[in-house]
Amino acid sequence: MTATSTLGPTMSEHLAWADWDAIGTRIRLVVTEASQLDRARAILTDDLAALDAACSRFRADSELMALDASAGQPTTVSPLLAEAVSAALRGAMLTGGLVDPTVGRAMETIGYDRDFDSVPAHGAALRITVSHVPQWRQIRLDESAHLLTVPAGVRLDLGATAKAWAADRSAQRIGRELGCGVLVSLGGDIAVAGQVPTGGWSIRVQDITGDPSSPAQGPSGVIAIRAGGLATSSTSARRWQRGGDLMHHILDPRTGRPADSDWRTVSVAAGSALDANIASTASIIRGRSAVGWLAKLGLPARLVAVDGSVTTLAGWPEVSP
Amino acid sequence: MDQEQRDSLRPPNLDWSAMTSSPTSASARQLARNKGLAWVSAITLGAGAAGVVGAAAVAVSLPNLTAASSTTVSASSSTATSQGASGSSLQGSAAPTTTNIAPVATTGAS
Repeated sequence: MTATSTLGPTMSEHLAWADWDAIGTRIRLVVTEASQLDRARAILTDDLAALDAACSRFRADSELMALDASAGQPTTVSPLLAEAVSAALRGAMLTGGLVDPTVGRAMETIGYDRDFDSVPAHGAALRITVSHVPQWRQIRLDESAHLLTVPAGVRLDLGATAKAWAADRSAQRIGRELGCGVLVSLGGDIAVAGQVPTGGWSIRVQDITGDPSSPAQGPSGVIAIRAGGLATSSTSARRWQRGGDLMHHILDPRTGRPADSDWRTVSVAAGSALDANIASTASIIRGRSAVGWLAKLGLPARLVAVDGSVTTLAGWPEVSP
Repeated sequence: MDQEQRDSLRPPNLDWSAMTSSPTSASARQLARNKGLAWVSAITLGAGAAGVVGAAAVAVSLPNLTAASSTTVSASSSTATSQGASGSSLQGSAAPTTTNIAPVATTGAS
């Protein structure tokens, strides 16, 4: 869908947006100059195609999957994959390993081994051994030489960070090349760049990403950001059952199992979508201790407990739906 | 598993500032020597220690390599060249503000 509209009573800019599906999620692109929408969409489409070819865990022909054949030997990779792995490793470093890209095999073990739309909603009980995932420290990356070493048997899953990193990258590129304001949302990982609309970029925060013109389900609120990024991690989506166990896509690297969190949804605003996403994902895994951790980092955040109660931190505004 | 148990399994917090140069470089090795540290591979550590620190090269405070299994990590891995995203900490931003403008996007799980 592509559309243009003046949004809101105080917004003078003629915003234009487009929605479509790619990389297994919903894309929303908004620009402050309607005349630039087609060009912006072309840039983002190209960026996402390159991202998919480099980083997909669900494409046999992706560069990431080709690493399986490297048998633990140093492999020259594309600058794009090197950057994506770098972003993932940074997430691991800054969270003490809670956001770990070596969860690929563990994801497959719990049933998330294909594009999520193709994952059966129900299936037989799984036999899972609780254990550490291989751990990010085993990955070696020389960014200048684009040389990546992944130990034999280890499969990377960049799903925790790649969308947010890509949103930052594309938003910056579009803003720079087209000279307009831009918002890129890749499945709810949001990056903004360039000219800021009057009043900021208005975004609704909720459990599950959806069309902003549709009513929210569950606790929600509308806030505005002017720069950086906003991301939400939640156990409310990408869920499936195996036997009597509910699975979701946020794995605790310490156990290789879906995180058993006190929070169902955590949203964070940060200097980039990547950092927001790293913080929100780590917060789901940390559980209750996320409150102190986020406060210490000074990252504005909104945490929704399993019972639906909402906690806000570090200046995140109290808002009503 | 309760929260306390989960916390006890948490990998040690690492000092990002110690990760800004490649530990496999000569300068880093010299730095480690100067600090009385020894470079070992975690692969030589006991399984328990390896489970905590992974199998990357680590600098440990120890009088000799045979004591490695009783040490803790003081510095870091060969992923130190990985800083594609800038900053040694998660970068903050101005707090969001309230608004009455209709939303142009939503953030949530997808």
